[in-house]
Amino acid sequence: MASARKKSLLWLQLAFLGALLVNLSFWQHSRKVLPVWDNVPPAPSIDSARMVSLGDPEITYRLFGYFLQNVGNTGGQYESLKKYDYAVLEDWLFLANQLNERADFVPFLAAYYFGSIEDEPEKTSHVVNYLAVAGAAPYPEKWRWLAHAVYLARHKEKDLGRALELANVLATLEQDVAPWGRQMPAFVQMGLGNKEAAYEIMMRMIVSERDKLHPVELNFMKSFICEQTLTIAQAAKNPLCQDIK
Amino acid sequence: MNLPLFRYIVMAAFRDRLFLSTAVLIAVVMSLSNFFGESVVVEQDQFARAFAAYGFRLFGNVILILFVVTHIRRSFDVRDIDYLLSRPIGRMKFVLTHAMAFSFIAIVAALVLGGATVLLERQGLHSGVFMWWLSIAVEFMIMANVAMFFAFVLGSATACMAITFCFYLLSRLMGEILGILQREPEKMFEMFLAKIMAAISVFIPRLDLMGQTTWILYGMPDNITLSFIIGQCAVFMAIIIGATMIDMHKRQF
Repeated sequence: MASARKKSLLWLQLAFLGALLVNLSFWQHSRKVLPVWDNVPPAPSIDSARMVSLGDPEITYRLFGYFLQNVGNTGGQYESLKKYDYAVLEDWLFLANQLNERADFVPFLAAYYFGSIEDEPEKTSHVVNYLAVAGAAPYPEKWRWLAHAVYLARHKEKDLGRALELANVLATLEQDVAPWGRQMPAFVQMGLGNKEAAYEIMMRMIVSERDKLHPVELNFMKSFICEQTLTIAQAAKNPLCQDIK
Repeated sequence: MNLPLFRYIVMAAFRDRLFLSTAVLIAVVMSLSNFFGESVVVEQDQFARAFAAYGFRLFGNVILILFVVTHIRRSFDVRDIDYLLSRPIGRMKFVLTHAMAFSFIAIVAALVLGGATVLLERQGLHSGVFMWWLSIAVEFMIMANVAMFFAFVLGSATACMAITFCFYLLSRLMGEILGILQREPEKMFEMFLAKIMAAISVFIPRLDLMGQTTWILYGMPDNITLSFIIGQCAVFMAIIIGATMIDMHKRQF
């Protein structure tokens, strides 16, 4: 009886050892299989997105925001933004905008993280597309994202025409846009070499908003007009340029 | 209402460690929410509050459903129901007392879990937070009574839980489903399915219109009113308690 038990125990131990050896061979194979980054996956539809959180779009927004922040992180390895598929990324950004257009998390990611990519104007244009929409949302301080879109379009996308178009939208928003936001078309016009147009925009602002502007702001606008849009001779004749502090 | 039976059910919740589980749930959800909140680049506070509110709502329902189903099924299995019904208490009063006790437990759970969410509010309390709080209390009450109905009707605890969770999923997704049904179906079969789904939706409460985390972050909703939430609660509780009473009335012991 005792020897039979010993024999069965021996068989059990052998089987256990065999299982361990098989597992070792599995491990030899599986340890070489590492997570592969498949780039930004396609964005789901808005219906699917809402279902992810059982009908609570705010949670979907936060989950997707978290995903977007970490989409290039695969098993502790970070991919360069240059490898991202920005066209697909744009779909995700617009999807997030449909879920929540009041939050600043995704616009922040778009402007300061995805928008920080260098020498890739085509990729930057996708971010600009999104920021242009996010910045026009009817909530306080959203215009700042539109201002960022103007900056990206002008300096990173190098598309001054687009920058001017967006700056004009920014300048005519009904929200409480800061004076520097309303002055943006003038800066872009200067970039395009249209000094007269820049002069015109700044002058119009001074005439219509003189009482509302801070003295420092007013002084900056005067010096912009006199030193950048006018020649020395023109400035000497312009009464506005006589009392610059 | 039968007060001793009411007390017996509430004591069963204590004995089943329901409130202790709720305390553990609060600790876990708050810790995880803060962890997730800290790991994002901006709006950390909003992330933590939204995840905590969502976690409390979801797991609050899970805990309540598990308690109600296991309590009733155990009462059937150990013949507690037979014993209780042998006392001078009518079947209708019996069901009503159960419904009131489970609703009371649901309200206590909502008070505790909602209170934990309120503690996370650092930007001052506003009406949206209170609306959320009230709506999850209503949702907990509805789901506790739905669980009670299925636990009385079905003989298996596993089946009860499965069907109650399916019911909860449907209730949370009903808005999306109805939205999809608005689109013109292309095939005959799709049209048939749409009709079935529309019929089912009559008996499903719109829990997707309650407890939205966006209310906590951005204030009161435009399209949901207090009267809608209370009205839905009253109507659906009447339906589900009525259905349980009919089942108990027909049941042979």
